[in-house]
Amino acid sequence: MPRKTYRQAINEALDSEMARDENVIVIGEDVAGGAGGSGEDDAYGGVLGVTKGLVGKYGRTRVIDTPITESAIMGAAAGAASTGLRPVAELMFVDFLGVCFDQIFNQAAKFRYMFGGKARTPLVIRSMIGAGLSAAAQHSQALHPIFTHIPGLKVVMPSNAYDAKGLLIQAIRDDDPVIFLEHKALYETQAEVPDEAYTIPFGEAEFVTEGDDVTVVAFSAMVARCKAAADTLEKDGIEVELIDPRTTSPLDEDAILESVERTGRLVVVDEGSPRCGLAADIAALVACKAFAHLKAPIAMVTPPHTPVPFAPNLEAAYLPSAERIAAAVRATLGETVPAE
Amino acid sequence: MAQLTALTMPKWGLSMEEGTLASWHLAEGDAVDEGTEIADIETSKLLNTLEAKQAGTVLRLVAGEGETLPCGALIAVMGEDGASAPDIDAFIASFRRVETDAAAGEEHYAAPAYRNAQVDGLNLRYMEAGAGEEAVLLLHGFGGDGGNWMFVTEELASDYRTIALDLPGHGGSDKTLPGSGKLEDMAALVLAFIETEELGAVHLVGHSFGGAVAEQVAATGTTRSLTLLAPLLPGLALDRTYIADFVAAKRKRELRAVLTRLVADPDAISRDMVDDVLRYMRLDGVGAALERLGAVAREIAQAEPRPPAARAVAIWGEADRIIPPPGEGCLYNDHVLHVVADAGHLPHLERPTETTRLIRTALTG
Repeated sequence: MPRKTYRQAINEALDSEMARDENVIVIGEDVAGGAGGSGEDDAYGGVLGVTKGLVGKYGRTRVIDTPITESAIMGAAAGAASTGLRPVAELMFVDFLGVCFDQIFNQAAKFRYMFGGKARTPLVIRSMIGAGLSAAAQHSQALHPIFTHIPGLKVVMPSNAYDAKGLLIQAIRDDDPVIFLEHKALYETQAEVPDEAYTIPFGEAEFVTEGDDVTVVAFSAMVARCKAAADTLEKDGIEVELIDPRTTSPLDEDAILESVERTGRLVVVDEGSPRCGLAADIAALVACKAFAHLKAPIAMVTPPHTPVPFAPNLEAAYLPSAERIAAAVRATLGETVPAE
Repeated sequence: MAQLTALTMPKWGLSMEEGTLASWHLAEGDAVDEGTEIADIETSKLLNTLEAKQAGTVLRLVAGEGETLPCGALIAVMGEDGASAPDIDAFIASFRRVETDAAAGEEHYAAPAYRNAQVDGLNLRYMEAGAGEEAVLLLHGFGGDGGNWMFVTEELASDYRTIALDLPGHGGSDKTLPGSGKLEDMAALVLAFIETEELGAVHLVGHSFGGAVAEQVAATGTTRSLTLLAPLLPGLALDRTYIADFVAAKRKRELRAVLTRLVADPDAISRDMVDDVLRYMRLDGVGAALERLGAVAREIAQAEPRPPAARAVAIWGEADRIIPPPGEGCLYNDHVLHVVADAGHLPHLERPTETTRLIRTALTG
């Protein structure tokens, strides 16, 4: 099977759905690029080239460049979705959600509820999250817990190229607003990705590794770091069950609970800030519903509660590392670990 | 210098790129005959046993147990008893040099290839290996693909033009079914495929649902022989819940539990095998195709019992829980029935060596 990057996988998903359904449109800043200039027409394909090639195939009526006005992009997309189009709107960096959040959380997320179940809002908002590229505090956040908090939004966080394609096709075919969060450090990662279209249902966790000693739950770019930690721990005979729920809303609670019932130990790893975050949410779920099975306190591995540092060495220290994850796993097993 | 030969990591099927040496059956200095079991090799699908192709002595075990190596990599040095250690070292060194040369590496095994055929408006993918005047056409079962014959194809390819077809709705073939998806439509498409690819009169080998298709093809076309592995024939006691549970399984654990029912040893189903099947089931069009073919399979099982239309050799796993082996002679008055011990519904994957030998014998009549 061909190996493809996360970027290619997302591009293929958009291409395949635009070919399949003429109601699918792409709208955002520089998603085509080059409009009105004298140079190359398909110049950008988005700030990281994810939508490259689409304007050539589907034209400017379906690949729409906008001014730098996130509120207009999200408002137009939410309105278009409520009239029957299937817009895929791009919020270039998730950090910009502040200027368009009303259109997302108080409009798109509420239409179905405010109109007696008669309104459908098949809207996908693609956005880029995460630290690791030294893009500083205003372009590096992982704000998925904010979307996850809002009922009426589905939130997807693919950790690899295979999942990215299947989850994005599923998102575009879904009749509710879906927030699709791409981690900027994953675009160059590769996986085996079928050429054909396929869907991965929401709310179904992937078991990256299976093991009976400790359950580790992680999303997006943290999954690979946890896998690296699990590989190290395996050499010492510690079997980690690594769960990637893939979507934070809906959340595959059964997968997490059933695993913890077996292992009795939980480490949650998340790139979001620790306060009111996803790690705390999953820790609370397990504490409430599987407390009797726990053999050790739940461990959370997150960044500190601070903006993302710009300095590369500080940014590296800010992000949960494989070493910190492995240490947390050992701690749940009662092993003392030298302080970092 | 004594004659030394390389024993390499086998390549069983197109998707196999590497294998893990699970355990050696022999120690250095042991003599082997043709067919002696040498080692257990774990592939991403299943465990298989590597057998000696010729008599000789195990001079040096190069690969350690648990080691994962690419196909074609040196795992042991064989030869005549009494070869000197320096000679063996030199042989290993020269082999490694050859290994680093990608072009030379290709020569260790003639890699089979995927091909595509356009038949009646459908794209059909198939794996072709080997050459020979006579062609063997392998038809997989419900929810499977040509890769299910991975342990069989290499062995048959030494004497036959060996073709493992992905039936429509499966593998790399189109997920649209021919006609209304009836058994007759599937058989007509296979006949058209045989014609398009100019295979002539073929040896047909079909497993389970593919056995039903093969039997139908043999009833209407010219074939050299018909070999059926746990075939779905009218009136046999098919476990109908299997098809419903397979189609309904959306989670890895559910699917693993379903797939485990296919085999005698539950540990034979690997994570990768479950992953591959799940990934296949997520492809657009697969769900609808399997629903339709599942209904066809149930109809066949409910039909009046009748023996195969053409003389057939049947091969059945003794512990088959999906279609249990029929009693000796109950369906096959002048047909031959072989029962393979320690195998469930997938004898060609569970006991490949014995099953391949039985298939080979069936082909030569």
